[in-house]
Amino acid sequence: MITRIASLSGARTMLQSIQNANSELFRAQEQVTTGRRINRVSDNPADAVSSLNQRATLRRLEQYSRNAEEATSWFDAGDAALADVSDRLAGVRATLVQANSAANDVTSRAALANQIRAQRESILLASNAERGGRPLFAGNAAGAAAYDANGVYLGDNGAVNLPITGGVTLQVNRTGPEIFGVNNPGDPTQGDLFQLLGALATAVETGDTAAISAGLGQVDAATKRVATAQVQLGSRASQLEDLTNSLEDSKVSLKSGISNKENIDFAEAVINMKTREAAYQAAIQATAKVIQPSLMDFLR
Amino acid sequence: MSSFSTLNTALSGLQAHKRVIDVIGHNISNVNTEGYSRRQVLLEPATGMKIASRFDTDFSWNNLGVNIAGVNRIRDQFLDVKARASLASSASAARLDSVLGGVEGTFPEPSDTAIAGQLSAFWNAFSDAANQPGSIPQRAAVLAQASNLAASLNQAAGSLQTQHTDLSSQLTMGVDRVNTLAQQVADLNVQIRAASVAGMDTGDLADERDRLVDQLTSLTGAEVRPIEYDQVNVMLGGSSLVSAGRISPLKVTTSGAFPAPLDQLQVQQTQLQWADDGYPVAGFGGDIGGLVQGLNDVIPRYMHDLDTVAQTLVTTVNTIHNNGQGQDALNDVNLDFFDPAGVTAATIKLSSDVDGQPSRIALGAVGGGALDGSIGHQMGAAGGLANSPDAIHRAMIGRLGVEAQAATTRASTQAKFAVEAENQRTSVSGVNLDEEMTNLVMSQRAYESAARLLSAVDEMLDTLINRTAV
Repeated sequence: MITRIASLSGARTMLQSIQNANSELFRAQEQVTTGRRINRVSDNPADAVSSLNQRATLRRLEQYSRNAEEATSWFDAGDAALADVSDRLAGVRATLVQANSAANDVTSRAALANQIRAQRESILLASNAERGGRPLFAGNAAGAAAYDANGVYLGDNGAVNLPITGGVTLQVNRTGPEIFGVNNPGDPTQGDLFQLLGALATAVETGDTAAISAGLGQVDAATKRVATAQVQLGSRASQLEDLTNSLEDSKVSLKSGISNKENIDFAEAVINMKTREAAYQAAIQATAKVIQPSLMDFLR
Repeated sequence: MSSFSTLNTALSGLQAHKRVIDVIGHNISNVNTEGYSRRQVLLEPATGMKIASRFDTDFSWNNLGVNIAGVNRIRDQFLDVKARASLASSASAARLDSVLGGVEGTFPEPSDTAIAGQLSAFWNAFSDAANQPGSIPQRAAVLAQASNLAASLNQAAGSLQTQHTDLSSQLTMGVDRVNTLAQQVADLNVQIRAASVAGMDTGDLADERDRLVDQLTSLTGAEVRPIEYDQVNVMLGGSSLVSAGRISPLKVTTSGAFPAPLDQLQVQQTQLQWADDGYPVAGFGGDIGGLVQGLNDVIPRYMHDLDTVAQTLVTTVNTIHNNGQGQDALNDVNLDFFDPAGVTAATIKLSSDVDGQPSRIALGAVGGGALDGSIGHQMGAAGGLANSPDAIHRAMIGRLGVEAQAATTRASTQAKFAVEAENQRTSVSGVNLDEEMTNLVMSQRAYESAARLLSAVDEMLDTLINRTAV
């Protein structure tokens, strides 16, 4: 207990109180002006580290969102190309039905054969559909096309797997052979779609009705294969949509978590600042009052 | 009793209170002088022959007036010890706080632009490139992001190195200051001894000496031992820094590499030694203690932590990268992404295999197609693994935050203790103006009364001499 107050220590104590009040006011002002509760890690190490964690997770999730956009664009492009192929195959089937009749003469058979060849060209074009300079159905192979002009597959069996969330990857591509069938040089009618269509065109031209009737079944099988691929892509696209939704939910909750830790409650911070301001003013006013009186004022 | 002896009694009162007023004036003048101890004049009733008048015929030992027994310098040794210890602890805590504040400034987390953000951006660049493995601009973006990350690590390491160098030169300056102060204290000891022996007032010299000793203890945490003739010895870890008029100067040397695991650092251990015999100084604290702890503990520890982040980054990335292939399936295999030789945060850089050659970045698995992105995606996920450089970096930031917070709290608590101890000391030794004014009034009245006594005796003598003779 100090009973005797030296003038110097009195001044020192008052100065220290003013400085304390001032530095607390400064911290409160810093929080209000930056809008942040944590301006350096030592302000609150536990919250700062957990916010560092959440920031890293959030940045990872933002990458997953970009991956998901990439996947969506793969699925959209694949679906459009396969829908195109389905349409063409329906056209081929109609042509075949028309050709499967004894009434056709040589001229009309040639015309029908040309129709099939033209539809084969269109399907070939659809099979080479690309996005961003990369053919959709060529696996991981480089090159501008999945099939060359003769219908020979140029790609590989590579899968394009995109990570969408931690631990979940989606294969966003189907390779040419999975959609259009496997090349079979020994028996073109059992080979891939392009060989089959070439063989069918020849059969229509020559009036080989047995081959044409068999061809109807083979075209149906090819259509089914394309439809299966389309359904597979579609189901993955809907899985992607679910994943994207939960990704967005996680991002929102992470952002609010980070904000809760790092950002101030504005009302609270302003009130806090006002309280500190009042304390500071009280300290300087008290000092002004305490310094003035002295015995000197009362002595003659 | 002689009629004249009362004149001398009055004179002694005039002289004594004149002296008291002089001392009060000295106190008032020094009211704001740091380290000044107030003086008090000790008065006692006069005895003895020395003020007996030669006119005195029937000398009496009584009623001889007042005598000045001495001028005391009011100071409490115990509070001195306490205040100096508090000052040293406070200086040491403040120094550590500022060292950790500097380290913390090197890592401005949490933010999206500091190292944690750069790491995420680096991994994400790999993911983006893996989404389009054929795109050279995306691959070039990976290299650019990697260079940014390496530059951030280099910069942080450079900043820690600069802080270490700064602290080192501050320590050298601090030790120079200690040696200078010690010499001044020793010189004052000699003067005080000479003055004491000659019976002179040593108060002002002692105040000056104590002020210097305060600075010396705040710098070093030294202990002070009073010895004969009002001199002091200043002790560091049981050895004398100042012994009466002699000093043993200190010096700073580097004493080789740190023990493992800090042995790979560029910086060396710092040691405080006695300049005369090269023995290490023990038991020091204060500002110098804080500096040495910053140099030998805090900064090297965070340098090592940062190096670990860089090394883990290089190992993690190269391990995955070695398994992949770039665009040229024949030649772009088994390549390092970062230069693996002697990695520290200060030296981390891209390997010459991929630097400036984005096509050689391994994004696909060996044997996979040219547009395979599986290795790139694997790399993209590497930042989320348990022992990833990200996790190590976060752990380091966490430790730093806790340590810096503790240091700040400790520094502010110690500062309060120091002010409290200083106030206690000043409450004994400091000047209170009200008290001085009261004493002044008392002495003034005493002086006036002595003067009144003089004139009363004068009138008595006037009555006796002038009115009775005629």
